[in-house]
Amino acid sequence: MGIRSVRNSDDGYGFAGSDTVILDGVTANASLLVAGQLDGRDVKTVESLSPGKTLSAVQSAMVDAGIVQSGYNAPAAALIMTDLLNRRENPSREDVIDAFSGLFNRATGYQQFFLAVEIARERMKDPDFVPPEIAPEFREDLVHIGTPRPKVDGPKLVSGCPAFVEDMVRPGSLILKMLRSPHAHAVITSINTAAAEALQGVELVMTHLNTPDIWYSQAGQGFPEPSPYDRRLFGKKVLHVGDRVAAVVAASEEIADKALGLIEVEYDVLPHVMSLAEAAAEDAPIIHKAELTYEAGAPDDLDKTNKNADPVAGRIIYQFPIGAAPHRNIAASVSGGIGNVEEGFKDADVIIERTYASKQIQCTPLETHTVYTRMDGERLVIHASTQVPWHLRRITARVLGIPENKIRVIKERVGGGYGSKQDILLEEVCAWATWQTGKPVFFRFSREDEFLANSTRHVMEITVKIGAKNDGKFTAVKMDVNANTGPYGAHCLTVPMNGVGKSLPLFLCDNFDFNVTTYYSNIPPTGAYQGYGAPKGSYAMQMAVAELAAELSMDPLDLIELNRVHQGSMLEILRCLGEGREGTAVPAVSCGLGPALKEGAEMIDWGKKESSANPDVKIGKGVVIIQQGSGLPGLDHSGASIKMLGDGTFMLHSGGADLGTGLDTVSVKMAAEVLCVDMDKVAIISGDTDITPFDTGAYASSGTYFSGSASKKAAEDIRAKILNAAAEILGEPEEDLVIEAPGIVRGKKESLTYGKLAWHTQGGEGSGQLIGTASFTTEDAAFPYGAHFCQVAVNTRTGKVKVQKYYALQDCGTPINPELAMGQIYGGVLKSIGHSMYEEMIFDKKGRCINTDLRSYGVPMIGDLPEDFQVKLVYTDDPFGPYGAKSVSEVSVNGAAPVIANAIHDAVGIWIREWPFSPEAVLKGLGKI
Amino acid sequence: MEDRRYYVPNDPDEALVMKAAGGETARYLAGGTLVNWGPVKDETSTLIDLRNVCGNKIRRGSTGFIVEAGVPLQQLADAEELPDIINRGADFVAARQIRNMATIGGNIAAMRNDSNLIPALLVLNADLRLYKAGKISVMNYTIAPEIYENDIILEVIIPESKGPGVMKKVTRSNNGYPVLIAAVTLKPEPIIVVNGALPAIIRLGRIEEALTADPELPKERIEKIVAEEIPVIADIHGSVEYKKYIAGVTVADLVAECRADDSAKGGRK
Repeated sequence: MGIRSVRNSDDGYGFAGSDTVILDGVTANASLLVAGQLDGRDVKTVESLSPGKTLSAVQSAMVDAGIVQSGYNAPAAALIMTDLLNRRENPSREDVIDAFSGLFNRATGYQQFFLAVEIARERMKDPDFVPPEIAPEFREDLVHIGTPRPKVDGPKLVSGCPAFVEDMVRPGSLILKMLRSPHAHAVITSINTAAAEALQGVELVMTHLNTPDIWYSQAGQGFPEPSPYDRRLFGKKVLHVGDRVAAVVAASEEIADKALGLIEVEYDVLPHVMSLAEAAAEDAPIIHKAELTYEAGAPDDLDKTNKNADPVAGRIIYQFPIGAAPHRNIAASVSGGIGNVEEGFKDADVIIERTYASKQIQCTPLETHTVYTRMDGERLVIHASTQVPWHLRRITARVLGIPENKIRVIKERVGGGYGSKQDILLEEVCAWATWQTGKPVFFRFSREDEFLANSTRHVMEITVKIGAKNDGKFTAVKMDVNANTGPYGAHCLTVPMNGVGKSLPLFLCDNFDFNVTTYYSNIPPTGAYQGYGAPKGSYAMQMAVAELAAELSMDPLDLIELNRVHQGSMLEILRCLGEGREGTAVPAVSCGLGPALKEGAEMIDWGKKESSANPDVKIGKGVVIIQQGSGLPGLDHSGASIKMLGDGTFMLHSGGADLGTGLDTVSVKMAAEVLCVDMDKVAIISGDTDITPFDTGAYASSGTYFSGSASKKAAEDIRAKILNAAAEILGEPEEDLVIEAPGIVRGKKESLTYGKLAWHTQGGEGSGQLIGTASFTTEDAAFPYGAHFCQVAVNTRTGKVKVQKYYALQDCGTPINPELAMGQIYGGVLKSIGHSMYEEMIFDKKGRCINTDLRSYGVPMIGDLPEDFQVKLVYTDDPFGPYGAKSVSEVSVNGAAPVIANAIHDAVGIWIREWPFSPEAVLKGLGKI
Repeated sequence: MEDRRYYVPNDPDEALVMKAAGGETARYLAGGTLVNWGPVKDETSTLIDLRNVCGNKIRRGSTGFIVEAGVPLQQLADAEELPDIINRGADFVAARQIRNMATIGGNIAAMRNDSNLIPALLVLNADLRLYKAGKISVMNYTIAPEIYENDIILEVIIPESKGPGVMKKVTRSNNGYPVLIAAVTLKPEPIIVVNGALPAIIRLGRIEEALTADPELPKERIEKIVAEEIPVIADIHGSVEYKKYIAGVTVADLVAECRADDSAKGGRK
């Protein structure tokens, strides 16, 4: 019917709720309905809420409250909220939870839904209702920065307008479907595609026999990447259940499915390895016995190593050494440290050494991975749901063997990425299909595909050893990280390193040491995932600190306070933690940990032991500190340009890839603030490789700090040009001119509006259109910090852990969009509560993931919200960030695992050293089973 | 996917004829949450929509409540006149959209192992009225549902409850698959039913006998007997050890709850 606003997040499982419609006055899952059921019935989609351009009360409330982030299921949420308010004039918290019980929201963590309902309720009575407070405000000296403002793409998303890749697919486009390996480790000995190719409607069948022998990495990282080029489009060897075997491009999904069934494949099945211990074993099956090549820094014994290579395994190309030994399943390794840890441990009065582990978890974006490719004359156009448009273009150009200027990548709205859309998981296959056929091709992962082939968080086992004096002062800290990268080495060095790099610098100690070793295996692929290794490192380090506190009979908060980083502390350990390059010791120039810990302790009544009326239920509290970075100084790069239009408004072109977090809003705010205009005077296009300047992409928490800075800098560039041009027109010196709201250049004698200025400059005799441009790079680092507190109730009979209170106090410098920043934090926390307590990919003996749907995998829903869930933004003014801002998107996922585990210990006295903290794990810890 | 045939019969006889004509892959369609559910929908060639066959009213009969098979779960959850355990059983379906769509008749017929309603109906000794077979107990239906595969559930008859019925669902996450659903009543006689990550919906006869023999059976004994009796296998929801343990403590806790409620409301609001 062409109604795109009814989305598909789970292929008819009726769980995610992105497909919600109103059927005969009640909410229903459209994907569970067949057409016949609709006969004679009333169906309402989001289009019914705002027939014109004006948003309904509910829709505008959603935008104002900041709950429209990725927006993929915002139309569904709008229908659910409308239904709720039609049923309940004054809905209770329980009513709201019940209404949204069937809506999966990975981005915003639901908490602000309650506020949105309140606003909508009032706005239904009074359309002009303005809520007294949406979020705390910061920076009274500024107009837009630090103040809640509607997300610039909010109205479009909440209205269900075409915005996502799937909305761009033109009638008649071909469909690509993938044949995936049923084996975790095997060699394809024969593959017969004749019957599939003969099927009417089949345009192309791709296998390793007819696709390029080009090796690349799927990691969307800056070039040269610290990830091995260890895969090709289709390999002769399959390395995990779900690995690519063949792809069919056909006129319809049905034909493509039928063709897949006609492909005959024979395998030589090899023994597979899943765990770190199996991968590291001396007699382990080798995943990549490949021929190794180094673009720089080849080891002396390379020829000797390559004599043992197996031609079937293909090649691996390294841009530079990353400590790899793939013939021993080692994908990467690195060691480093400062001071002398052995001496430090000798000085210690108390030493503890503990190992912490975790299971494999999924990103689960609401919009699965998807791409649409088409030709535009001689050029290839890729409509992508990506965090890295330029890396996508570069990698695709390499695979296709064509210059980058033959490719245009258009980043559409992204329905959730969380890191997994930093990797090139399907785009290059689709691009190859279009390049070969000349025809438009659409490729979308099913939800099962996500579990089989999406990149996931690395599995890690981390051993932390801490030495301390009796007073708690650390004398030495050592961290050994073993990581499981799975079949391919995307991010195999940098993710585990980040586990170290974002956990050790939280503490001050003269003696640090770390070792990182990453192994190949046959688990599903891993890669970037919000936090990028930091959640694992944070879990291990913060747990070890808490365990040390118990050993010392100290309050863990006191131990943290005694050893933590402070504003101005020099972070020496960072000298050893460059991402594929030399690191640099830098200071923590802004750090809000002090006030965050103080306020959090007061909020949770730290030190007061709570009890339950139920004797089986024990209450405990925990505290941790966390940090992240703000992009990668010295590696990341962002660009922006802004031009003045004929009426004095502006068009901003940002390279930044807004993946639903509100980066476009950040960029517009930057420009509007600099240029003293309302935000609606600045329109934005972002993430289009033909139109906007280069940007390394939205990862490593770089958006506000890098892309935001580029937009600010571009605005400052055009501001200078505005003053220069106005000076000439007004006949006054530049230093006598000031720019004032609403877009006026005021001199001592006269003033000039931007509209008049545009008329002057763009007239035939003028100086020409005013355009500001900027690139932003920096060596300066800005670290967001946070203190997370929680209170749990542990039922000692059932093992069930209930998070009663969760307080996330987050220092992100100046919050540019406070309400969206809070949504990011709520979303990150709830996601990581899910990771810590519910989520887990489970495998059978053949290495196949057997819980490939959202329900059996265990994503958290609104019913899993902590009873008291609060985010507090702790203001600091970072000297390097734009208007004092630091990142906010990733850091909040680092706290839940350790703080919940610590609270469980406080409640019942057991340390749970492996995610997830399932009831079964708790009962085992309690010795009940 | 082959084309599906879709029929909307006006009465049970017409529906039966269509079902017979459709063969093995013909399915009755109530709310659609199970028949159209992603993993199974491609197996169905013929859909027979029962919207005109099964009513959606709840009424009081001479010995209890008559719930027409087309009543959606949300209506059951909201029906204050029905026993608590029925409200809870319906409400345990976590997603409101599903509760709006799924019907009591469809939920029973599907015999899913995450059905909360069937254990609730079993402890209440509820009956069904099928079009061909007439009145049968829910218990008999669940023992051999294949016998009634072509029949149509028209009504569910819920007797006036003589004792409190309580139930609990054990899941890891709020909307996750149940590891265990347990429903318990002690009066007029103990009935204990479990469902969830089990081979089937099971009535636990040994513990029922033990509670009949000793109504004050200590909780430790209840836990032990249930753990011994319940047939479980290890799967994604947990180990055998965990499932036996959690079944034992859950049933023991529900028995304790029943005992505490015994003199309260007689299972009715």
